[in-house]
Amino acid sequence: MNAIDCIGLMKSFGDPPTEVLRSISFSVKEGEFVAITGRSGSGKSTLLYVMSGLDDPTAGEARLFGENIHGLEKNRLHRFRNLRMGFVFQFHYLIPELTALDNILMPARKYRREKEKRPRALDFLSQFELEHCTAKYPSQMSGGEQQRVAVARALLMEPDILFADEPTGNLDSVNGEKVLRIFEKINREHRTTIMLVTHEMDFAARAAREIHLMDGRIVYDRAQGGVLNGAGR
Amino acid sequence: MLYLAIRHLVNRPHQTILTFIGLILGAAGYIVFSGLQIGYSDYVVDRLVNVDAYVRISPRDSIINDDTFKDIFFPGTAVRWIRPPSGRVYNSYLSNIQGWFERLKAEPDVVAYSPQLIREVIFSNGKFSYPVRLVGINTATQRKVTNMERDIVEGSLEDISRGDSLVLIGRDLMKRLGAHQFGTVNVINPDGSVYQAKIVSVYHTGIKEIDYRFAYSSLSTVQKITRSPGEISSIVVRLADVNASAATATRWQLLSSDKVESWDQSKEDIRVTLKTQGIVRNATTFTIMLIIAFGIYNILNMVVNQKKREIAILRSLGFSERETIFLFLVQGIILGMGGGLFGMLVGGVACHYIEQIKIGVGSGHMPMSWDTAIYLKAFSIVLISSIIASFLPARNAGRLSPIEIIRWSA
Repeated sequence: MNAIDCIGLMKSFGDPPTEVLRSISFSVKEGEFVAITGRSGSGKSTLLYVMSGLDDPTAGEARLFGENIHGLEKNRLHRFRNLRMGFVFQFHYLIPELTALDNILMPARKYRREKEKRPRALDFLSQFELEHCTAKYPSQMSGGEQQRVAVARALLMEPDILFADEPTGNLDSVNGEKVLRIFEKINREHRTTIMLVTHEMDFAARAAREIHLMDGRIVYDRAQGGVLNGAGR
Repeated sequence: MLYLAIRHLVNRPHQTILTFIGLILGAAGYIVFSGLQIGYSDYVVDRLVNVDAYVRISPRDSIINDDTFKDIFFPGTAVRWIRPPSGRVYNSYLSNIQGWFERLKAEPDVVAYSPQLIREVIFSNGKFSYPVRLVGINTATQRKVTNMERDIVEGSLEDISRGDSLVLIGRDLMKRLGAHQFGTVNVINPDGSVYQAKIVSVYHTGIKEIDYRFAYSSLSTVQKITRSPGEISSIVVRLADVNASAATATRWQLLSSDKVESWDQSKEDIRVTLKTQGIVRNATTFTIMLIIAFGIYNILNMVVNQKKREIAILRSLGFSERETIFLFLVQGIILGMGGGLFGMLVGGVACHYIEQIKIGVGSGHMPMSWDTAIYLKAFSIVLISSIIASFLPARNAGRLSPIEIIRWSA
């Protein structure tokens, strides 16, 4: 089964409508690492939000593991998001009142599974070189540390798909590299499907597949093995 | 979410403490205000009711008009008076005393009743003379109906029934007459006949209208002095519930031609004063609720605006709108409960100190009500205001679209 199926996704804003996504269709297999690239305003972040169910499409359908994400009943959607999806944004959005450990454990609190998930959270802190931040609040951490905490939080519930919107956009090259290595590791070891929106070509090149957008359309889809499916750059 | 709500409160100590102080002051203010007002009302009611009676049954004077002579002079004929009859018939007797006694005995709400004979006389001593309402009472039953014994400062209620022509008078009246305990005063009837009475007991209620105007003696003495043998002019009744007085009096009124009046029906001015106090108290309650609600609403609204990003991330982590509402609503509930509880404590302590303030009437101290309902109401006011005020920002937080926030933040 495919992890993601996008069928004719369209999204427009405003009146008169400006089309941001123009009939986008593609599929992503389970365990794939896909980079979505394109210039600013090409629609890559909008595509990520629409296919992850955070935003509604104007037309078309996004299926995650065969389920139409926009047709899910609300409680199922919340459960789906909590258990099967992880999000990492450009801005870490950590909760300032909570320590790094509590921030990581936050998704587990929805179903009161924080005790069960605590060892995993501590393991992440260790794996992501954040042990010294366990009891620190976001204001006491560097940008790179905060983003790694946000990644750990997104991975705590062992999601099937990780949606990352320019997670390295606000980081220096060293911290950006650390975050990308984490993505590669969890993709390799846990077969987590990763959808990474980035405008950094070096990082995109390390993904198994790259979908390049221009003006709301896929202009090429570099599948594993380097086969071009679109119009080329 | 409860954990995060508590962390939110703990991590903004200034706002939390200020809101908390506002809630405490709101609850404590309500308790002190209501304690004083209800305390004063209770004091006034206690004075009026317990010195007199819950319900008084007395003869009704009838008014003479056209209807009085209907079918008397020209039966079956419509009569048009050139000069309509007018006047008032004085009744000094109750219509059916025995009937009333039987009814009162059978009424489950009646605690006690006592017959009285009330007559207007003049008390004189030397050159001083003053109009007095002389009340003949049965001391054994009267003490069950009123608490007048509590106000006796010299002698006892029982003393007036130990012999003939013995009276209990107000201390103020005694001073005004220049008399003293165990001294004698002249009692002058409307027909001019004079009797001598001995002051055996003295009372002081603190209510001048009573202390200057009322004197008490045994029923037989008053019947003898006023030449009204066997006469009873009213029956005073004590009920189990003082608040049921008006309703009971109205019900009994329908059964008899006698006048039946409760303490509050006969003292309209006091009733209006107490009712006004109640309105003022309710208005104050509403104002307190409004102030509390605005305080909490403003703070939580500000917090919701500050926390938009966190709300977005919580939603992306799978937390629902309802859980987001709960996050902010529970903060209002925690503040309301804490503020209400501490407010009750602070209010209680303040009431305790205010009650110690000495004043010249009644028990000598500030009247204060310790009714549990005041404290429960204060707690409820604070909690309900907090819940209502926090619900609106909480609902707004729940309605926020995570994607809009993320786009706006980016």
